[in-house]
Amino acid sequence: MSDNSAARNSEGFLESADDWTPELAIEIAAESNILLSDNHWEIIALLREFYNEHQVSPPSNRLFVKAVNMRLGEQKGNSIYLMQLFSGTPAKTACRIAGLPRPTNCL
Amino acid sequence: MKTLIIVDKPPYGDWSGREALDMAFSLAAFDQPVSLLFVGGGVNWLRSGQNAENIKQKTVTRQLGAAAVFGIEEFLVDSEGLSAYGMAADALSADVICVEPGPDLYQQYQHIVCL
Amino acid sequence: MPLTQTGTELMPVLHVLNKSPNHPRFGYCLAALADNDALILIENAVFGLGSANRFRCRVYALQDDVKARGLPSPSAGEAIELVDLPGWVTLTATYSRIVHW
Repeated sequence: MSDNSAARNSEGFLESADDWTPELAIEIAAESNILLSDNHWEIIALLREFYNEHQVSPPSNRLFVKAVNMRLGEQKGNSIYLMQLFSGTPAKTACRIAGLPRPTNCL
Repeated sequence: MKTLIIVDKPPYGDWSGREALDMAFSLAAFDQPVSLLFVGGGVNWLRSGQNAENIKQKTVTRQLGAAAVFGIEEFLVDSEGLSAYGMAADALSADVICVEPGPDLYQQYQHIVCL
Repeated sequence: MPLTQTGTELMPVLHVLNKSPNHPRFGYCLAALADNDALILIENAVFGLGSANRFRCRVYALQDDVKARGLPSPSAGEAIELVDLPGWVTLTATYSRIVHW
């Protein structure tokens, strides 16, 4: 980690969504070997907006897909697209990079 | 399988309401039809103009807003509870259906949960 | 000051109530109020503000808790005073006896 050292939990999620910066996102993404493209940033912005409005992370992959679907439509709101962008468990990976709390129902 | 989750306590005092909401989100995540029913002091969840920043909590109406996005079917509210707390059904933070909780209502659900 | 049956003075009490009106203890607290006591509604007890005009003693409510829950502020005609945290501290220093419900 660089001197950009915001507090993180054992799974790498930020303790406070307010600590997030774009630089930090690049750093967290690199830990999962993800190089952020415009397509990533679009989802990150959507997640942060969602969190600001509802103060909750999309609780699971399915609801993550649903939330993206509602704002950006079928083409991006589908699990294959989101899995290609955010490897592993897409909701967890994307929330971690976007500085949101860990989704509650992601096992 | 339709599930009804009952919230009977006001927000902010304990965690039962948030746990109920989590449960509703989980059901919705698996496309299970779920409705929330606010009764008694629970009707205060729907009060508009809440802002819990100064008591270091999350404003519950904003989380209820996410419920609609996630496909929670409907918010039901006990009309007696509304009048007990001086609240008007058309001045709430969300679209609701006023009901009189009783056997007729409960019969429509296979699972009823009250935390 | 009111007198007890034995003729001694009742010391005024500050009652601190944090239970909502649907909690049994809300009623126990109301039943315990004497005329020269004071009651401060905090946390979910502020949901009882609507009926606070009928309480027999002086009533305060914690402003942050009222605002958080989207409740209307008491009107000027009501004998209810909103206080902030320092105001609550002042109250606790004013009353020698305090009951936490």
